[in-house]
Amino acid sequence: MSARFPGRRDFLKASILAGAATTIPQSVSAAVEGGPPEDKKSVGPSSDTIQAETGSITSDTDDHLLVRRPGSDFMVDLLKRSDIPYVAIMAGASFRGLQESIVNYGGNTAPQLIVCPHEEISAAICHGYAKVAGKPMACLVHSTVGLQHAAMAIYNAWCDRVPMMVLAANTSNATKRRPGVEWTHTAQDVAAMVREYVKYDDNPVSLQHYAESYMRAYEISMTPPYEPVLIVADSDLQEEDMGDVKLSPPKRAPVEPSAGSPSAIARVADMLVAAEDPLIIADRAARSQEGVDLLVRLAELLNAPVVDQTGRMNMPTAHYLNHTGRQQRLVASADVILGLEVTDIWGTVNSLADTIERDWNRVARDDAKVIGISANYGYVRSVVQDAQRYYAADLTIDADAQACLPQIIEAVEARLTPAKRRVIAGKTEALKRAHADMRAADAAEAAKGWDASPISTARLSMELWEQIKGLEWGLVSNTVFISRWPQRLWDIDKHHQYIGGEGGYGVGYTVPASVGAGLAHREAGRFAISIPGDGDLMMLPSTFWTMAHHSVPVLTLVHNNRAWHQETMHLKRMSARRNRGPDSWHVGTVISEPFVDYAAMARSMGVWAEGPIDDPDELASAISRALAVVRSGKPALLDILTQVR
Amino acid sequence: MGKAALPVALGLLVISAATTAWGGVSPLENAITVPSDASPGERLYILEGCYQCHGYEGQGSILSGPSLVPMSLSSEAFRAYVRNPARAMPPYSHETLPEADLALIEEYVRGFPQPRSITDVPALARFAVPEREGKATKSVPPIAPRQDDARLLANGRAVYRAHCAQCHGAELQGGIAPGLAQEAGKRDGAETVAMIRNPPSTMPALFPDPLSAAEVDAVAAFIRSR
Repeated sequence: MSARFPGRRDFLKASILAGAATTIPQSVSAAVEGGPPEDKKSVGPSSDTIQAETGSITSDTDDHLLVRRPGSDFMVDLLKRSDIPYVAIMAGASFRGLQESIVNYGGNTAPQLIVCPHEEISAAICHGYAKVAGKPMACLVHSTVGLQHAAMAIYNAWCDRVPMMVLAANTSNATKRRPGVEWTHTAQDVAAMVREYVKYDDNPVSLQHYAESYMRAYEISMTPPYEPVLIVADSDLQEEDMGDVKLSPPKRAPVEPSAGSPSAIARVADMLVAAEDPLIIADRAARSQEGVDLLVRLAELLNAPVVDQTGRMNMPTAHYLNHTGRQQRLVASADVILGLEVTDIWGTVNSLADTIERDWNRVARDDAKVIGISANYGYVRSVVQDAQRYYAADLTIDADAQACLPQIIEAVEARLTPAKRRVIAGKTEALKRAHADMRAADAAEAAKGWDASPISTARLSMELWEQIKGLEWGLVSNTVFISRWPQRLWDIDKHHQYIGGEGGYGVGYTVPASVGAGLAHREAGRFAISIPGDGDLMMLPSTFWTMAHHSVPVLTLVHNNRAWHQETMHLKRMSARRNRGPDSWHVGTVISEPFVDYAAMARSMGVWAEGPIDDPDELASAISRALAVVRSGKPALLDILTQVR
Repeated sequence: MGKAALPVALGLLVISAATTAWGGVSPLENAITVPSDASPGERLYILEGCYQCHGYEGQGSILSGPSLVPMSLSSEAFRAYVRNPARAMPPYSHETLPEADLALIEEYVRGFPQPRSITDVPALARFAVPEREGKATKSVPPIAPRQDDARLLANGRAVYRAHCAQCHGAELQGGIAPGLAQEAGKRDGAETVAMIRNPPSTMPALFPDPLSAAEVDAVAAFIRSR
């Protein structure tokens, strides 16, 4: 029924059809009846009459079949207003409206669609992007099944304190759901599936409501602690015509991060200045290069060694005050420990090994004072346990560490007497010597197995370093599984050069996160380097198609130890404790029979690739060839058979 | 394993495909690549899972287990530790690892080639500390002697936890090394210090590096105070 002519048009159409049904072309009727054709006019209203009464029956599509101003166009306006550069999608019917609007209304530019074969890839791309770009991108997921796929990646970002705009489509109005799939692909409260690990969610029921919730969600996501947020983009809101309704999209309203009270900052400064052996531990302290510079300033002011727990790049590795490799020794001897956005203070000052008893012991001095500064203190969830074990610090401040640093520096400066400054300055040579010794010891460890096959992770790291130093790069994978060689032996001095790891240790993060990080690095004229484990890669290998399709310059070096290696150790531990099956640990933990050809896999999806490489003397030339591809703007992969860690 | 390339799909020790106790899953020696020219000790080192934490070259990893190169423990200490390890290392009982097999593994471990000097590796040479070549460790600047007993003991406790607890136990209860809870009754202070400065062969040398004289005094005082 036409909205404008609710009945008359149909009546007239019926009349026309009725007339037509009685009007048989004479030639046909003559043929049927056997008589000669006669020149007779048809009965029924004239075309002029029809034109006058119905408006038009031309070949133009009737208005009721068209949606002139779809609501999803307005949703694109909000994406543009919030400067979302990319929207990652795995195509889904519930957001066909918004997808079409992004393409045809938004021109598929700012935001541009990043096409993914799996929603977990979509969300992990957002995760990697935000850590380099310093702002979120969006992923658009298809209701229940799409959000379920994306869930682990959203959880990783939650644990990693990373902003992300999750737009989940849904069809709330039950009367609008077609039978079958549109019911199984709808939830009454779709955000409930991930509510425990998003910072905010809403299910707007009007476009104005959508606009305000969307902007609120964005600001919440970008207020430390950064976290994912979710807005439901109902399919009706997407697809219905806005008509003449006037909408008022809100402006952005960034929230200044909390910086700690003056009295708290004063106490921090008092403790640090009074300390004889202060230690600074930074995890996700630096949100930007400014954070790195501030941390360096504070450390130099106190001549305090810094342990960088690498949740982000916090402290330049070649700086004489970066004593990360001496963490155990320093924690054991420090009299004041300043923790800046440390994920796990309990686990830093105590030790709990994987033994049957799970006994723990304190590593830090009994009289050591511990200060914890983190935006996480005011935002702890009950269900998910990423807050780690409770630790009663001597001073706990609910504030963003980077935002606190200027005040702490100022307060410390004000308290340093000339005598104290001389004492502090007197430590410099010994600290430089200790730093040099630490790096020399790491180099000596790196030399072990230097010529081995499988290739040592140290050899892999240093062959790579020899070719990338001096270039503009960013390392986008977790280095813990390659024994942190980049932090130990590279000269990492810029915040964007390392972005930490998975956050929640959810396996499958690395390859898609490298795509997201690679997009951001590409914007800045850099390329990304990723060293995923083979087990990690195997979770979402289809990411390589996205990587090739969007020409994301990522140099992927597969750390291929042919196993889910952490689990081989766990299974050996279990069987040994049970005094049985000493040769059973491989069951369910190794990736063999057959081995996987990762180079062929990558090539099948459009990524240049070579491998497997098991001769360390071949590494340099292979890296050179791969690097040439990446610097031309395309992704490349080397499959490298490596030592286990 | 040395320079010989680890074959991609070759070099397997072929075992007949009999059913196993794991529902038909292939035996370990089909799933894990062992070089065809491996010595008995190397073969056991891999199949017993030693490489998982200590690496194929004994190089270790900060994430999994210490380096075995060089192996400074005596044979007695080595075997005792494998049977009764501390912390997360799995125990190897006589049932799962007969003494003869352990001996082969020990022989293999002690035969790991010495690593190249970093001055011989261009990518690593810049880290060499010339005046301390061969002696670089993760040592700390000497800690100034504390004047009061409380500080001395606190300092000694810190040194103990960093350098002694792994073998003697977090609470001095012993482990791979003897317990120290009764140290004050066995030796006088000077003798305790002397033992740390000149340890028996089963104990690593900690003086003069990484411990200074003041730190030796502090940890001795701490141990004797328990």
